[in-house]
Amino acid sequence: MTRPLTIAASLAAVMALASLPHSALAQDATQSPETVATETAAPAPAAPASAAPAALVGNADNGRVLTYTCLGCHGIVGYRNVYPTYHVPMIGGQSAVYLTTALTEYRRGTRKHPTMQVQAQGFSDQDIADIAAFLSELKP
Amino acid sequence: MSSMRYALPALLALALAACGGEAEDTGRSSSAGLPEGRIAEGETLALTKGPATGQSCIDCHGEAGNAPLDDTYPKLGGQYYDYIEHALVQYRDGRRENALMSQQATHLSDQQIADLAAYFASQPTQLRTLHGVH
Repeated sequence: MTRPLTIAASLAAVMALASLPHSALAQDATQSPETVATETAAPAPAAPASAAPAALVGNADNGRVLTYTCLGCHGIVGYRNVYPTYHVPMIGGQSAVYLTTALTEYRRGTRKHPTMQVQAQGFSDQDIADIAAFLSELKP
Repeated sequence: MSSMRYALPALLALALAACGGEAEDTGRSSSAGLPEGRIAEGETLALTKGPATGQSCIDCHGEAGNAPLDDTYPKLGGQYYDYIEHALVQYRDGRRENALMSQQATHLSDQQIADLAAYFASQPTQLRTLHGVH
């Protein structure tokens, strides 16, 4: 009678292990610190000391090009983040200052979200200004 | 018969593993665990001065969350309710930081967060997804 229970227990362990890759899908800072540490440590950040870099004039035309990469999540109506689950926010129409702050904080790692932190690492101050200019001009 | 003997434990193990994984992944951080939001209660709360800052939501984010007093504050009207919940939970639990919002969210209960999110999500919006903008 103990044997089936043992089997059940080991199966449970195997299944628990098998379910682990789900964690790798983690899209939020609430997950393991290693995940976040790895992501933030990746490329050498060109992050400035201040949260809000000196105001640059954004080029909305260039921002239009740069934001193609945002569409995979922010361009799908009703798209949800997973682990935890919530709708990816609507960002078109937010102010340029708010958007600049958000992207700069993600780049510095002071605001946490694995995907957004990686995305922001690739942007210069001018890129961020351009993206913010384009997004802030969008109307519902 | 011997295969049947192992089928049940195997199924049980599957079910247990599935449940365990789900609970660990979502945890307290998930807005999915919050109670149902109530728009009217949320509106009242959005107009109430918070004990930590002496400000209400509307004092800074403007009427219906659509007229921020300062460009550093986001527009909230019509934003997805569960994103607002997520943001407030993160501020409350110290996983997102902002001089004002971290204080403002400290005292909020799960129900209050759900109510505020329901209220702001129900308002007209100036926001949009990026669907079709290119």
